[in-house]
Parts: sequence; C-alpha cells; structure tokens
Amino acid sequence: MEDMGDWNLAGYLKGFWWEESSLRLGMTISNGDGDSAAKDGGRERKRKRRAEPSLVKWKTEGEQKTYSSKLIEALRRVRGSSAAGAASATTDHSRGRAVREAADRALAAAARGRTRWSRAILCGRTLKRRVLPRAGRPKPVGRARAAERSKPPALKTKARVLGRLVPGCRKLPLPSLLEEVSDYIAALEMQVRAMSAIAEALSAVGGAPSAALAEGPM
Amino acid sequence: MSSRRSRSRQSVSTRITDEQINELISKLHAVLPEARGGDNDRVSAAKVLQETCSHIRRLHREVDDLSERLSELLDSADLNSAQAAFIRSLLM
Repeated sequence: MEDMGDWNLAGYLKGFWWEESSLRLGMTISNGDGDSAAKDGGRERKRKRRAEPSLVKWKTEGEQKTYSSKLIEALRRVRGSSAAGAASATTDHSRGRAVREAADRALAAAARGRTRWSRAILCGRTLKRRVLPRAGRPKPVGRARAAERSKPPALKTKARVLGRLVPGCRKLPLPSLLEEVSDYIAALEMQVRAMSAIAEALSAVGGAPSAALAEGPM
Repeated sequence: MSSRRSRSRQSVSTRITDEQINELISKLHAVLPEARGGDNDRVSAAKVLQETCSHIRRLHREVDDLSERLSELLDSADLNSAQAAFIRSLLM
C-alpha cells in the first residue's frame, strides 16, 4: 500500500498548522517548503501583524477529507445515542437537529479556534440549552453615535442582520464582521460539499442493505 | 466636545477607514455566487450585504436539508465501523 499520499497530506496539514500557529505568535519565519496555501499566508503575514484566517484552506480537498472523516465518526455517535434512547420519542426533526449540531461542531473544530464564529459554536452549544439571562447591557451611546455617523442607517441594519446570522458576531464592528462572514461562508460551502458527498456515499451503500450489512466491505 | 472625544477614541483604537471597508466588501462580493465578470466595480455595499445575508440563509437551509437526509439515511443503514471505513475509502 502506498503511504506517500497519506504522508503528503499529513505533512501539508502539519506544515499549514505550524505556520498558522506561529502566525498567531507573531513570529516571522521564512517559508521553507510551503504549499500555495501556506505561501498565501506568508504573503499576508508580511502585510499585517494580525493573523488573517486564510480562505483558501476551505477549498482544499485535504481539509474536506479531514472534515468528512470527523463528521462520519460523529454521525456514528449520533446514531448510537439516538438508538439507545426511546426510539418512539425521537422525531425526524430532533435527529436532523442532532446531525446538524454535530456537523456544525465538527466544522467549528476544523477552524482550529482562529475565528470568532467557530469559537462561538464550540462553546455556544451547551450554553444555548440553559437560556442565559440577558443582563441589560447599557449601550455605549457616544461611541455608537460616532460610528453611526460614518455609516448610513440602511447599512447599519443590514450589518446587524448579518451579525445575527453568523454565530458569535452580534456586536462586532463592521470590518471584523466582514472578515468573519467571508470565512464563515467558505466554511459553510465546504460543509455542504462534504455532507452531500457523505449522503451520496451512504445512499450508495445503504441502498442494498443485505449486501452492505452482511459481511461489510470485501 | 463629546463627539470629538469619541471620534479620537475611535481613530486610536480601531482606525476603521472607508477604504478598508470597501476593500472587504469587494472581497465579499467576489465570493458571492452572483459575481459577474467585469461588473465588479459597481458594487454597492448595501446590495453586497443583502446578497450575503441571502447566501448564508441559503447555505443554512442546505445544511439543514442535508442533515435531515443524513439522519434518514443513518436510520436505515446500520453504520458499523467496517462500513464507516468503507465510506471513508469511497470519499478518499
């Protein structure tokens, strides 16, 4: 069996992860054996001190495969837990919701904590169950008035709607919000691609239950 | 007086320029599915934000539909470890 493919994938991921984490520490290192995605991160590193999440990684096949594996494992756990509980009590929607939450958690984990939306998903799932009492936050009036003067109110409302759509980005200023949004959209598109592929594979396998369940793969 | 103070606070801490915002908005516009070639100069921020909202809602709906489909498929197929490995190999 050729292990070269796996080694390259692991090496790419490891190199990318190492470069990104040193980005966060603010170290400047030379790009030794970078791939195109890592080189993109290197170019942007020279421009900004702040680590910018690279959008290219959501399009790579390696990232999608990693995500698909993690998602399949999570789906097996969902299947196990829903079967253990009362089968009559769980409806289609609650199982669908469990799948959705598992998919979102896996997606947020794939972001490796570099974006606000991913961190919000990872710590938001447990908090959402216990409805947090919203203490009345006094709005910073002076700052809000100054900010609103630079942006027309129509943009402001649209930006607020956008902030509600992305987890964890409600009170973000516009530039950070736009960055989070572009990363979130790229991640969502990868999620859709990966889940479609899994659904296709599952329907291909599950379509012939006798053949698939009997002995497993040949 | 108060406006000057808050404005100076904004310029020191955040330094948000319109240029930066326009750059981000055009980057977002390039990612959206309705980006036409050559038409990218006439992007209005409001339209981009609107399109972005609909795009995110569309993606959320797709993920929900896929989750429903996956949950049905999971229900009918018994996903043991051998099958999971098989499916993974299908995807790789």
